[in-house]
Amino acid sequence: MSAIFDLVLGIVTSIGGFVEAGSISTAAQAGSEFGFQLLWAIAIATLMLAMLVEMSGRLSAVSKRSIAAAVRERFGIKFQVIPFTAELVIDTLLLAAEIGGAAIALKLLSGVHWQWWVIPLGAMAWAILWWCGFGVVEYGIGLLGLVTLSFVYSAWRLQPATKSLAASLVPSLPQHDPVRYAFLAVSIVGATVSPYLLNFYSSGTLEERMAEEELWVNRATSYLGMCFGGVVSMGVLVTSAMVLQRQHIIPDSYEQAALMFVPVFHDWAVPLFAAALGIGCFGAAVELALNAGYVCAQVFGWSWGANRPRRDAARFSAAFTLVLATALVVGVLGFDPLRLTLLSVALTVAIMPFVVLPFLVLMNDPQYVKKHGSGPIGNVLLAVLTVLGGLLAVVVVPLELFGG
Amino acid sequence: MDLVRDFSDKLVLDRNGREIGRVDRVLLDMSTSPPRVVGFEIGPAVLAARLSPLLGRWVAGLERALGIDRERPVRITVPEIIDRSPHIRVNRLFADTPADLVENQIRRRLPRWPGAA
Repeated sequence: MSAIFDLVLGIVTSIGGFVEAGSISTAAQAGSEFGFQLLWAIAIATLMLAMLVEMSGRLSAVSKRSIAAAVRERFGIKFQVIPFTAELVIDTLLLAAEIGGAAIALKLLSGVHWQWWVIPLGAMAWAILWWCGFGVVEYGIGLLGLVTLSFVYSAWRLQPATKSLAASLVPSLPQHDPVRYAFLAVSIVGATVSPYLLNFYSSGTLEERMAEEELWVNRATSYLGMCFGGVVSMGVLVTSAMVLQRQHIIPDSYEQAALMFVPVFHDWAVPLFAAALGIGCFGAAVELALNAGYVCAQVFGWSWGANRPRRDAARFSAAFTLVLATALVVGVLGFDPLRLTLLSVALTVAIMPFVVLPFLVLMNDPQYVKKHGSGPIGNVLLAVLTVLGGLLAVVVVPLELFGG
Repeated sequence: MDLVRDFSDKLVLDRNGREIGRVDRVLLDMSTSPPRVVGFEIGPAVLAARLSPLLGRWVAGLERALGIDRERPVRITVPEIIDRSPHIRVNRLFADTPADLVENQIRRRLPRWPGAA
């Protein structure tokens, strides 16, 4: 019974925690510029994420090591210094972007300039990390994040043509701006397959002490939770396509993106968009800060854990505090959250081979996964992901320059 | 034993299961043939030195400047190892190692607010 409860809670909170600054901004831009045509990018990115998340959970449940710890042990520090440094940089940038996104949500509600909200939001995130255990961070925020289902409701109410939606799940060439199209497709992948999600999930598996016998819960939570979460992202894209594209609005700010809710929610459009954006971004910010603490502690072998007394894991607490403080400085300096999001998404794509490649080795090493290694299909898919990650890493910088 | 696979970068726990750090540098006795593992070291300076000797010296200097260089790096000899799998467990207490020095310094600066998780 407890396993079923964990499964349902895991799926529900995965849906609530799926959408954040990166997915909202890339899906909204893709919908407004190319209609439904980039739905396939969300579908593929979601499947990639679900597969990697499932492997992260399996690796942790069996080996009792997080991804960061397993990579340090299996590949050594000379390899890990690259993904570790990149993850810290991306976490910090994305954290600043998420806090900025939540601050803009508060601006939409209050009219007060978003930069005034950065410090209070940072303090609130830190207070949650300081006083609350893993359950509140993961489940509390995930449940609040169910407000993002308003994107799915909105898309459903706008009654998009089912045939067009189905056709868009197959990759196709654009009729205009091919470079921009490719840039948005790559950005959607980068926004969805965030490295922080993988380590956060694997650390969560350890925090919750998932046993080897519960691997089916991990599999069901990863695939169902992520796939339903992907539907929320698709809801953003479809709503944007049906509202913003028809009015020739290309959202270059969250304030403009909020207009997508007007035809369905009328007077409630702005408050509801603000709630979805704010909770999605704030939840991601808390998870990002916590993940920065996890990664530092796991790479260097310090005590860690959101359920441990903070003073018993002082270096872990100091690490998440420091990363949060750095992100707040970036936010207070006034860097545009939307641009920060797109920059961190591009960086995510650039390091993708370093994120995916270790899975190919670790998931075939009996020392880590015992008898639960990847089968031939899993290995082929991982190899495809690694090659795809390499290709995306090569094209992302030119695409950012010419299509971003 | 595979030195890299079974020893280097492994998590090191004290006898109560508390994390001390990771095996940042393996110590070999080169006078025997084949060379023999005599112990390992834990500490940011030796870890940084593995990436670049210059970076190692810089981190060691930083440790000196912060006043946390006493008895660093932590050196553990092979006879102190109790277990090697899944993590390396040693017959020491975290509180008795210099690794505790940094943890303590940070702990002293952390707020003592009640109710912290």
